[in-house]
Amino acid sequence: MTNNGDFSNKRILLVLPEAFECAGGIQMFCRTLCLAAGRWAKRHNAQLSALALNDSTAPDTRYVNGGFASYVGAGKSKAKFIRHYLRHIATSRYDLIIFGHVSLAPLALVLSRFKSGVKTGVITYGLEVWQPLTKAQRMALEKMDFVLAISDYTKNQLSEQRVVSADKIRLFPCSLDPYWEMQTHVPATSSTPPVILSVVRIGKEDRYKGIDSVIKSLPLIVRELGPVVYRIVGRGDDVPRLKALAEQLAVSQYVSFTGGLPEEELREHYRRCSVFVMPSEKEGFGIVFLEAMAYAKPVIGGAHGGTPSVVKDGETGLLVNHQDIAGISQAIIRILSDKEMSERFGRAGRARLLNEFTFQKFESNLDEVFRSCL
Amino acid sequence: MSRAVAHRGPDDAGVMTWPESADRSQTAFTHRRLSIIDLSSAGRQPMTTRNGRFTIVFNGEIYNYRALRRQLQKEGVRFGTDTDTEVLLCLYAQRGARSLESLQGMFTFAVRDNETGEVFAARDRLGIKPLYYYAGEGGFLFASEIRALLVSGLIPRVIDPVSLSSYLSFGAVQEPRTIIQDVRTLPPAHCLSVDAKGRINEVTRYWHLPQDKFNGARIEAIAETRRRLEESVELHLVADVPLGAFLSGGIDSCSIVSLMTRRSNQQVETFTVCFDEHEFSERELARQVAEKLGTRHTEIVLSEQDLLASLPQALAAIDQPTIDGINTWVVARATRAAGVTVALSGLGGDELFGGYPSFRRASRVQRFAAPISLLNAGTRRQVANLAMRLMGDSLRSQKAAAAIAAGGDLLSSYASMRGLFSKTTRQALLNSRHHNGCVVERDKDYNIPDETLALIGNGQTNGDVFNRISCYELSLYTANMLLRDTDAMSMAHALEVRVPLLDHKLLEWVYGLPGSMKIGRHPKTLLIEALGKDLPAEVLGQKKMGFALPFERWLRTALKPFVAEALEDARGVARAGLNPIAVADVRNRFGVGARSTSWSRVWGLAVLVDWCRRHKVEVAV
Repeated sequence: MTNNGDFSNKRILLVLPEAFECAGGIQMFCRTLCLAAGRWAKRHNAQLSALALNDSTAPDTRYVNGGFASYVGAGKSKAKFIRHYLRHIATSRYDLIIFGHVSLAPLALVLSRFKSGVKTGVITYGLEVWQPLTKAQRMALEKMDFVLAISDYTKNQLSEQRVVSADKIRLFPCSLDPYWEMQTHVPATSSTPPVILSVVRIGKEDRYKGIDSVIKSLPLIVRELGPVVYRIVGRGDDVPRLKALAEQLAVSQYVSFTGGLPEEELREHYRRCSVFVMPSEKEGFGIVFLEAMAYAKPVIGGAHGGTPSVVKDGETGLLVNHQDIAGISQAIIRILSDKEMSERFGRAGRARLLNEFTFQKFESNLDEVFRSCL
Repeated sequence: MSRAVAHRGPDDAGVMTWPESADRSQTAFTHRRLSIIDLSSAGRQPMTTRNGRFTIVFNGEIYNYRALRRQLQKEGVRFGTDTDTEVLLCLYAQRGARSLESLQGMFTFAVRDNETGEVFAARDRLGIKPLYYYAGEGGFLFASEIRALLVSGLIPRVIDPVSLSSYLSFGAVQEPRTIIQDVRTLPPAHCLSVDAKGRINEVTRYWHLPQDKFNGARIEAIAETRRRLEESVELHLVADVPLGAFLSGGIDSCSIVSLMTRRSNQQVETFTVCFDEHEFSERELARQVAEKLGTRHTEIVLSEQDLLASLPQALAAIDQPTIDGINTWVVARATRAAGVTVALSGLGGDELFGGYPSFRRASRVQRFAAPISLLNAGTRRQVANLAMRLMGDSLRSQKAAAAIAAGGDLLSSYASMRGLFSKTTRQALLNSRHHNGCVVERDKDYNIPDETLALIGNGQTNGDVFNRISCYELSLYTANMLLRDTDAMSMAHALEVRVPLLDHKLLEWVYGLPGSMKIGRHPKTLLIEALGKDLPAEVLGQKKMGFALPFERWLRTALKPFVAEALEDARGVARAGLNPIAVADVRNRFGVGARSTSWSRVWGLAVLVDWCRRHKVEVAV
């Protein structure tokens, strides 16, 4: 039953993996959740608290401010995290607890032993729920009142696992960081030579993101179009291997590994790129596509996982098979050599972003969730 | 003082004085002008602002003066001349010391605030133009050359013993000291202020070499390098007088000329000064390049007789003792006589793009640095001595031994590559009763004074091996020898030499790239790639030669009387702070062809003693 009325003194607890410790899709979602939930709580005079496992420093006050009663970061200490969780549920009567990751969902089982009447929900992103869940995770999800999935693919994967009934799973897409969106009124430009941009984590466990494939496609691209720059923004322990790969393919002069960058510099790279590429095999959503779409850039994503929820093939960009080197190179060549198509994709992408993936949309979705539970 | 530097500015002269008062000293500015931009008398200096507040004397060129002028005009400033001097003066009047941030050029200048009596002086970032000063009992004096300070009669003509040691270490006195005690050089990228009584308030640095922070792709580095090269060359073409370029067969001068042909709508004038002796001549190569680039090319051929006959004049033009410079004097005289007032030079390319052998040698040394550094100093010295015995007594073995003894320390290794006399020989040369042990000899073989080390600053340790060597070359060899000698020896003929490869914006960009972007199969790979097909193929793969005079032969033949006259005068040698027996020993070793004693050692001693005699300078007694 949806509550359309008074939410004052309703108590909400967010139990999160991490929001501010480092950059990443999950972290960005959690930050946006904090901001939206805080604004909602302030508007409705509700009480909001949050507990984050890995955050160690004070939260960014742009996201955590007036609407919060407390925000505790456990600094990667599981003991401290659990202690605070138990204290929260023992001393406060919460109306709603949202678990920010399926790995934290089993904590709901403790809750259900001691407290009744508390609504619970969990946020699911991608890989973590595409593979078989643990027994504790399954048990927890069965008891949840709702499960939020950031993409259709994740929603369908969950349905197929038959852990929770389909009517409990709600699509809850990511949004562009509202602070990012506000900065995109500067006209975007392109570079000569053209710049292919990827913004990714470059760890050994992130090889599914397809950076290898883009590097392997460079010889074909350069042969066809002449010099290009492939700029890879991000950190990780797989950089030496990728550098060696570029060297081996005699394309290292075209590849730039920037490492991690401050936000302003990152934005400048988005602004100046000719195309954004991440042919990822297992992306839960791909907030980075939204960042590129904000600058009206054409995008190329993997035809897998949650990416098709964001990138519409032939409309806002192109979808490719993550291992199809020829296909990836052809997609890049098409976009770089067809200015009209490139600009059309860019405009359509930005329009789609402004229709479906804004922070206002995120707030609206969260409002529906809160109203239905409180 | 003004007459002493008249050769630098034959076109005009000016003087301005301000009387002494209760709260300020008597002050005078004098200037000798070499007219390059706006040749009218409106460009005479000293120049004063319309409201009378500020007066300037300035040597150099502000290449971006037109853009600065437009900015100032938008701010309401009105101009009476077309000179860059007036732009600089008005910029200073508006912004004070902050004006330095906007300047692109080579410059030294001093501005007097006529309201307060204070004087502000500044020198360009690389030290292309000189400024010497003395602050003592007689007041505060400054000039473009030391000879002008000496003729004032206010400065004791005493040799600085620390400078004497650094001269023997490297063949040039290391800044900020000069060969004269208490006379200093304003270091590159520094400014100073002097109060109304002639007391120095402070000397501060206003610019540093950047850290390397480039994270783009190599092709971006190449493209941006090209763009900055083009921009620099274009800026350096501004002149109202005939302008040309030195053209050897080398990559640096070819790069400059190639870019000039693309930026200039007139045929570019190029000059090659060549020598009769083929092994020292790049004449043929320069001719081929000139033809390919379509320049109006002039070859100035010099005979040995001409050169020897003019050596006394060349020696007289030396402002501070240096083992280099004669080549530049010869080339500058010939170029000026051909009607050119401004010449562009490729100086700076080796420092920036890794042309010197020091870059490759340093990389090799660093490979052995880690194991060598594990040994203690005593053991390293023993290993060094063993290496010398095995390799035989030669310059090469001396330097290898010095590098080992230094434990692989990069700066020490670099110093040994550039070093002139080793510590042992230096100690013997300086073992004079006139010194009373006042020269401090450090543990390291080649003595870089502490104040000089302070100028290198963070470049000593920051950055990769390539960039650190680049920093050392720019701060030491280039600043203390190449640029100093180029200025003194070219201005001796009122020829202005411009150095586009040392434009600070180009330098900031290239220095900010990691060394891995600049090295390759060839030296100066990045420069070659940036020029691409615009660089004639003929120059690639050529061994670096330059314009070299046959001193090795001359010192045994035609110049032997000059050396004898200088170095056999025991009193003259001793007054220059040297031990006559040690000097004779160096001569003898050279005479018998010892591999450990090259011509530059004998020449360096002869130039020093000759200079001291000319200027009546001697060690303190």
